[in-house]
Amino acid sequence: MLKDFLDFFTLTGFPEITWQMPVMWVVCLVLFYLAVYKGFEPLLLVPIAFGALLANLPAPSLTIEPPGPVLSTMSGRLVEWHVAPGAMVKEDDLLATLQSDDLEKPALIEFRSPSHGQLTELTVTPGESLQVGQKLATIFSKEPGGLFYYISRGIEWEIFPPLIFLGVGALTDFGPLLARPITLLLGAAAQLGVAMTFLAASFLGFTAGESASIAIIGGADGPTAIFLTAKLAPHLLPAIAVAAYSYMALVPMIQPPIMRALTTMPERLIRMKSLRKVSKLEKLVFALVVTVFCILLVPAAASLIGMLMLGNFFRECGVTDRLVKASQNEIINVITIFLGTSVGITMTGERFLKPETLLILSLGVIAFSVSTASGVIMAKILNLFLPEKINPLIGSAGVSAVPMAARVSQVEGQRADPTNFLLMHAMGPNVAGVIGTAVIAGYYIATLR
Amino acid sequence: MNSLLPLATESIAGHLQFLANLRYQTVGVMIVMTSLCGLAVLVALVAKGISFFPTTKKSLAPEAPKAPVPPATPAAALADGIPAEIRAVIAAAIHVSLKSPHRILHVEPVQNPQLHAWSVEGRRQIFQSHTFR
Repeated sequence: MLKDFLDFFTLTGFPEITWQMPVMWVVCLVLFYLAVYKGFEPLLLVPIAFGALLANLPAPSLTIEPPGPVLSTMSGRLVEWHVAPGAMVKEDDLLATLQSDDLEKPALIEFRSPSHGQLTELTVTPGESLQVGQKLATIFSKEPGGLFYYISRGIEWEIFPPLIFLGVGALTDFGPLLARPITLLLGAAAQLGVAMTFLAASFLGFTAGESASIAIIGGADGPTAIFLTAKLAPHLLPAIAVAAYSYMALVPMIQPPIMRALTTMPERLIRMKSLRKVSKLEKLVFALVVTVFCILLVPAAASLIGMLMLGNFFRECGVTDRLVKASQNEIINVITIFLGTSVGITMTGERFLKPETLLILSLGVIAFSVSTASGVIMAKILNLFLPEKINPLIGSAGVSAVPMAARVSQVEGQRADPTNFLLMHAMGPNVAGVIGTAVIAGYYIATLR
Repeated sequence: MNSLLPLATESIAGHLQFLANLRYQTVGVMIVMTSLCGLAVLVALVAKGISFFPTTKKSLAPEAPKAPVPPATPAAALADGIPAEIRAVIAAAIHVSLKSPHRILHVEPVQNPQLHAWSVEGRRQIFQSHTFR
C-alpha cells in the first residue's frame, strides 16, 4: 500500500518543484498585493500575476506545443543531434546543438524539444546550414498542445496589442488634441526618454533589439511595449511587461517630484484658455489623416495605428454604436484577460529570476523619468515662442499612460491653484504620446528587425 | 604596453559603438518630432479648411411666422434674481429626474460665478467627452 502511495506521489507535481518556483510564488503574491490592495493597474496585473502563478507550477501541459514539424528558431549550422529517429522525447529535452551565425548570440546553442511525442524523422544532417523557420525534425503524438500555447499565439502573431488599441481608440477623445495641435509636440518630446534609455541599455551590454524593447517602457504604453518586445526581444517580455504596467501605476509617484523640480510657481499657476469645440467632421478627418500619414511614415506600426484609428472612427462617426460599445467593453476586456495571462505564463522562474530583470526594472524608471522631464522642458521651450502660454505641467502627460498622466497634471496644477483645471488641456499631449510611442516603435521595428 | 593594447582597442570600439547608437537615436527622435510636427500642421490646416464650410444647413422649408414677443418679466418674478420661466424649467427638470414626491424649497443662483467658472467648465468638458449609454 505504501508502495502504491509512493508510486502515486511520483505522478503528482510535487517532485517537479524547483527552487525558482517558490520564489516566483512570492513574486506573484507581491503582484497580487499591488493589484488588489494598492490598485496598481489591477485589470492587467491580476491576469499577469495569475498567469505567472500557473507558469510556476509543474504543469507543462498548459504551455506545451502541439506535435508536428520542429522548426529552427535561428540561422546558422547544425552541429550535432543528441537523439535518434524513433526516440520518445519530452518537452525541454535536449534535441540538438546549433551554431548561430548571429554575432550577438552565443556561438553554440542547445536546441530543446518544444513538445512531447515520438521523433519520427530528422530532416537536417550535422554540418548542414540552417535558416530561421527551416524544418529540423517531426514529432508525432495524439495529444494536442496546451491551452496557453494557443492563447499565447495572440502575442506571437501580433493580434492582442492591436486589438487592445482598437478599444483604446474607441475610448479616446482626440478633441483636446485637435483643439490645440501644438500639444502634439509635447507627446513627441516625451519620446526622448525612450531614446536616452536605449543608449543607457546599449551601454550596459544589451543588444540593439533588447535595448529598444527596454527603452519603450518610457513610452508608458503597455500594448506598444508588448508589441515591440514580442518582435525584437521576446525573451525579455515578462520583465518588460511587468515593468511597463507597474510603472504606469506608479505615475502619480514618479512624475510629481520631477514636475515640481523643473517648474517655478508662476509657471504652475498659468491658466490656459478654454479649449474650442471641435466638430465631428474634424475628428473624422483627423482619424483618416493620422491613419494615412503615420502608416506611410512607419509601415511597421500599421497594425497599431490602424486599429487605434479604426476604434476612434467608430466612436466619432456616430453610426456604429454597437461596434463602439463592443470595442470599448467586450473586445478590450476579453483581450485584456488573454493578453495578461499570456504575458504572465512567460514569467517562469528560469526566465524572470535573472540579474537582467533588476537592470530592466531600473532602466524602466529612468525611461519614465526622462520622458516626464522632456515633456515638461518642451512645454517651457514652447512658451518662449507662443503668445498664449501653456502650463508646463501638462508636458509630463506626453508619456502615454492615458489618462493617469493627465490626471497627475491636473492634481499638480490644483496643488498650486485649486481653481485651475488642467485635465482637458493635458489630455492633448496624453493622446499625442500614444501616437508618438507608436511612431518610435515603428522606427525601431523597421530598422532592427 | 602590450597588455594595454586590447583595452585601448576595446575602449575605442565601445566609443564608436556609442557614437553609432547616438546617431541612430538622434535620427529616431528627429523622425518622431518631424512626423508629429507635420501632423500638427496637417490638423491645423484641416481645422482651417473645415471652418470655411457653414456648420449648420439652411432649412429648405419656408420660414415659420415669428412668434409674438412675450411681455417683459414682471418685477416680482425677478425678486430672487431668477426669472419665472427659468424657475419653471428647473422645476420641470427636477420633476422628470426625481420620480418620488418632492417639494422645491429654495432655488438660488451661484453666489460667486467667477470662483466656480473653471470647475463648471471642466465638468462640462469632461461630460462632453463621454458617450452616455
